[in-house]
Amino acid sequence: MHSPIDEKGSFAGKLRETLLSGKKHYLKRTALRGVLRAVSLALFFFLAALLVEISFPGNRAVETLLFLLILLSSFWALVNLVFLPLARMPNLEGFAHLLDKTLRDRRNTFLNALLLGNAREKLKATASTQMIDKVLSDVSGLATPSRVRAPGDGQELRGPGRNAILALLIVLVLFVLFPSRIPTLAMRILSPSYSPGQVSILKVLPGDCSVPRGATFNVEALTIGGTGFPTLRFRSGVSQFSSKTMQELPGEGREDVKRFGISLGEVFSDLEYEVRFGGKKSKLYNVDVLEPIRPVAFKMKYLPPGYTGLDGEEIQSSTGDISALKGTAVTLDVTTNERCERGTIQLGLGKEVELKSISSRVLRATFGVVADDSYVLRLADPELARQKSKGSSLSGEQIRAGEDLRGSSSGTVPGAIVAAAASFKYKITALADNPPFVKIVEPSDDIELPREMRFPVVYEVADDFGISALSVVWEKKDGPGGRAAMPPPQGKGGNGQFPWNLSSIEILPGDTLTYFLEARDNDMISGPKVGQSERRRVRFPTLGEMLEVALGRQEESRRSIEEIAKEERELKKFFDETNAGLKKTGQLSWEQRKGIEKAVAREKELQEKIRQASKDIEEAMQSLSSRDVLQEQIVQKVMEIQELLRDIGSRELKETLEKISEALSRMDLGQVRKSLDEMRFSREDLLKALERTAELLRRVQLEEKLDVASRMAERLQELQKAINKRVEEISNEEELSSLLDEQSRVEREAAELERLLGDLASSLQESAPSLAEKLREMNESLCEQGEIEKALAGMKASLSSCSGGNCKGWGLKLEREFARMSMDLQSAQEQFGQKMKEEVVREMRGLGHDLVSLSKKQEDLLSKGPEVTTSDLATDAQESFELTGRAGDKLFEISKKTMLVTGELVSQLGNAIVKLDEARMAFDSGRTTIGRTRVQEARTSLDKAVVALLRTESSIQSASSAIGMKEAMQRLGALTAMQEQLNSSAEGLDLSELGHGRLRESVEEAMARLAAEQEMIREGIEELSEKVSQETNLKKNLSKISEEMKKIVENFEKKEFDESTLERQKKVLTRLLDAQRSVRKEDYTKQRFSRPGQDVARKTPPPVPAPLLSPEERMRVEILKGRGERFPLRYRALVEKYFESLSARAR
Amino acid sequence: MRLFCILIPRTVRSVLLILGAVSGLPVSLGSLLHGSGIPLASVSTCWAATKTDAGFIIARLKYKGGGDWYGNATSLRNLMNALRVRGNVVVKADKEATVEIMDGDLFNHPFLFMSGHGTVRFTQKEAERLRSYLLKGGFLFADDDYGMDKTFREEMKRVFPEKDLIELPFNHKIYHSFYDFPNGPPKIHEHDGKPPQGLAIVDKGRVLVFYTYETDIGDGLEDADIHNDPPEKREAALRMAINIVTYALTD
Repeated sequence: MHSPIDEKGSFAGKLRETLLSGKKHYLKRTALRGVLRAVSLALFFFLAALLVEISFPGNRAVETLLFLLILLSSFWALVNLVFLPLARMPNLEGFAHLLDKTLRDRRNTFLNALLLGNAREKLKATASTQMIDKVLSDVSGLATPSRVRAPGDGQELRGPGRNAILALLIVLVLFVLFPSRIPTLAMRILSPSYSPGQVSILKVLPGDCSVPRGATFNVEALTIGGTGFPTLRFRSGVSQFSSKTMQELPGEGREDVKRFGISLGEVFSDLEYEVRFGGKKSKLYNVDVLEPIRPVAFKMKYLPPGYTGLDGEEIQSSTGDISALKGTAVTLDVTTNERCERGTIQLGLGKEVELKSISSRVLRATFGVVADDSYVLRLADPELARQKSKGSSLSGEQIRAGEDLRGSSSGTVPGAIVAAAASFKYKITALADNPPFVKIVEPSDDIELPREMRFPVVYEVADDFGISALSVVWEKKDGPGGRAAMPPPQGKGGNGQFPWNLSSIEILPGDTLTYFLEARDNDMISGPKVGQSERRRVRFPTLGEMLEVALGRQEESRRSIEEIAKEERELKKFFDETNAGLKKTGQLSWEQRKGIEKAVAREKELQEKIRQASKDIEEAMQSLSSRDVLQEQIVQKVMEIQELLRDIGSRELKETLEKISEALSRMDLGQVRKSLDEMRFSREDLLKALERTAELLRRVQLEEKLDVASRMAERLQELQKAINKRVEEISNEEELSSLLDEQSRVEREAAELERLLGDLASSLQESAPSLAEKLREMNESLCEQGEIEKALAGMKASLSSCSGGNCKGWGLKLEREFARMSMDLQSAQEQFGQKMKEEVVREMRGLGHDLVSLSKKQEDLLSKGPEVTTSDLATDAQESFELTGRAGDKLFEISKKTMLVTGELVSQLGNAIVKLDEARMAFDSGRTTIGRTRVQEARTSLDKAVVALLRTESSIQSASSAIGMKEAMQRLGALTAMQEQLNSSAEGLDLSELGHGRLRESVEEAMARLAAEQEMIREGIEELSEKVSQETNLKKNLSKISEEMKKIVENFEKKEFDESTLERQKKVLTRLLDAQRSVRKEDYTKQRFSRPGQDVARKTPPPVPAPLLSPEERMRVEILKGRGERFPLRYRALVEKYFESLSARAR
Repeated sequence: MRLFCILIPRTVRSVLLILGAVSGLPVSLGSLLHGSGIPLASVSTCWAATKTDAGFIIARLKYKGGGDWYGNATSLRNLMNALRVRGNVVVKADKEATVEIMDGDLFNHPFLFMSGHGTVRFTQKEAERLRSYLLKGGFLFADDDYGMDKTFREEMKRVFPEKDLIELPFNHKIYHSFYDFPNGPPKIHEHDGKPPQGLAIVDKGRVLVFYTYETDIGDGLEDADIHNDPPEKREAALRMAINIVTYALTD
């Protein structure tokens, strides 16, 4: 609307605006005042109603009246105090008039100004506009904001406001003072329909929810109002609802709020439920039964400890119990029924292993089996965890982590019991590595040690995780035991066989060895377990028994040799006759051929028999020599006989037999005859060698028996001495009876000696009657009523009766008797040896005499002049030939008694026979010159034979004092060690003091001592040199060494010790070391030691491995390797040369 | 002289060599091996830088253990004579030097010889020093005089635990450095009837230790009347020994 003020000037418009603003303010204040007054009124009414309610509690009429009064008064206050004042608000002019009323001295100022402004145009004609504007301006200046707000800005709000605040404060104080009562009263006042018997609120917990299967499900209801007890209705699936009345639970602290609860027990399926109370019913809630997380399958991967060498093993199981070897690493895969991503395994001692998710339902953990234990498997349930997090935001809902769902939850806990994690307990069984099982299968019982000194031990061994060592352990009754490693079976065991050689075990004959097998497993964690087999015993034969066995074999061999010799004689006869027949007829008949073939086959068989006999003798002797039963010399003798026997089956004879067979197949009569002729001589040699061997064996057997008898006596003395010592040591005579076993053993061995002596006496009766008589005497002392036998009986009786004094007496007597017998037997042995030697020497001397006579006879024959006819010469030659043949027979007889008959002797004698035969034929044919030449040659051979015979005799004479090479080696080794020490001492001497006048006393003493020591070693070397039986390099070396030592001793004695002496000492030591080694090679193997080497062409060793080469060489090799395949072989060498030259140039 | 090689780097050595040649320093290498047929260029440069220590000498290793380290007393003298005459090598003295491993002048001897019949033992310090000596350019020729084999191998294993004695192939330079041995080492003496073997400890292509087993070259080098070996065997031993020395000095 067009305002005149706006048009005419700003004063009218400004005033109007100011007034409008003031009017709006006035309107607001009026409304506020009305509201305040209404509220104040309502509150006071409410307070009044409370007083009435308190005065008349539960009076429904009063409460209704009060409610109506409150309602009416509120309505009245709202109308009269709020709406009517607003409806009566004045217009602008009215407001201006109200303002004017505030001006005590200027009446209607604002109203007039307002009207003047409105009428300004109309008054233009009558009044000055300037004057009007002046008035309006003045009024506008008067219309300040404080002034235009004056109406209603005074005391109008203060009273209602104060009243309202006061009433509000009172209400609040009441609510604070009576928090439970005042709201109820208020409810009763404010709600006309409110009744204490009706349910106003029904809240059901937990409402819709999920619970683990099998968990106890509780329902709780919170109510306000109502009487009686709520009813729970529920059903599973589509079945009918069941009802249960809920029980009241302890209150919540509010009088009107009641708690009711009920347990539905363990729930296994989904449920629907509702609560009805006082005509009110809750919503129908759903309960989802969750399957609790649980393991449904286990997969264990066992990785046994490394020492077992076993592969890993996988086991599927429905239970989580673990059973494994201590030290096993277990990888456990747990498969769950529901999705599960996390979990732990709680081991003993608080150790926890986290399970890692392999897939949605499989978790894995790895841990070691250390000891018997258990573990708790905890599986985190993601669904339950979600419930838990959700539940934290729900008031009144309780979620508790179940400790063990299998143990169920406590039934008294209200609300749903929910588990966030499930735990399961399982056992861990740490299997101990059981000791191995080992059993001796064979021998199944105690045995006597076989003569070979070894026997197979068949065993069965097993272990749960593997065998690391297997050994045979033996124990001796009074001595130290030992063990021998056996190859352990692979893997967990098995059956096996071990050839146990007992020859190296130092045990006395007659002793019993207890043995068992011991197996160790491979348990490296808790240490190897040991398993032992049952114990078995093996009895070592006594000397007598061993000898019996060995000599029995020797005797068998000797008889076999005699049989062979007999057959050979028959074969010889056959071959001779056949050969004569062939020569006569000039034809080879079918029968003759078959006969020869048969004889050749038989000859081959005999050769094999000879070889077998030789082997038997060797084995028998080895069994004796390894036990040191016999003297080395005797063993050496037998071995030489054995070698002789082995060489009988000469290669020539074999070749001849092959030639005969071949010639027969070709029906080559000439070759057959030639071969038969060749075989004749070799067969004669064979026969003689067989006879000689058999006789030598027979003789050496006597020596063996004597030697063993001597040792047995010596051993008896030692055994008795040991018993006597024990008798001395035993203080309590009651214990003497414990020695009875030992004494019985002596008795047994004495009985063996008795048998042996009896046997020897019989054998020696013819050849050495006096010796036989002596042996018989000894034998009698061992027989019943003999001195020793009596003493043995007395000793045993004393031991039985525990008579210490008598024991000592008898024991000493026995010891003396055995010692005497031992000495007597040694003497007898020497006597026998001497007798044999004398016999041989006597025969050799006789032979020597014969040979000298023959030589002289040839000399005489040669000195005969031309007057002697050729016929006489032929007769003389014939006579000499026959005499030489007889000498040959004598030599053969001698060779049966000693091995020392040399090849040279035989050869020279044989040569003489041949030459004399040729001489005889030459004389017969009148060729005197040739005959004489042959006689001369025969004479020379005879002379040489005499020399060889004398040398042989000399060897026999010195043989008794000779020592074996084994002993020589030992002595030489000891002397070398002494020389080494001596050299060290000599090097330690202070040479600076030498050559400067008088030496210090200590140095002099040292030199004297060194001289004495050197002399002692030298004497040892001399002695050793004398004892070495044959002229060997060793003997020569020893002589040289002795000479050098003599010079060293002189140097020491003359105090001329200097660098040259030290050098000489070093030289001596080198020679000793060298000699020691030469003994091994030369004298044992009969080979020359210090011989030049023979060049051997052999394949080149492989190239130097590439990693050891220089980079350049390596590159060259690689280049060649890479390119080699492309080149033809013939170019390869050229290519290699090329690269070599390149690399050489590069260098 | 050897220290020169060990302590001074190759490049510096080369410079010194050139300077020496330019300034007219006598190159003793030429005098050492003149006339031997060995190309001078093939000789390790380190040997060329010596002036004051001219002349070659073999050192006999005096070891502990009780064995006769002094055995084959005339062998080295004969070998050095042969080197002088046949190889025209300047030999410093008639008699060999004797050196122990812990001696201060061990490193002054480029070539060690050891032999014997008995036990060889090194202390731990000796083993370490010998190893150092060999790795820094030294050479050890060991000859089993029959009896030293077992302990020598044991001790070598202690000196070089990581290395084995390997048998050198017959085309190896050591068998062709001066004379040709197409079938490997010669057999001088019979010991155990085994074939002769030339074994070595090799490092980066260089032989540090050359060990002759079942050959007895030391005996073959001795005076004729000591072992009564045939002349051809003694000659073979001498030739092989010359080859070994030549190889050690030139490779």
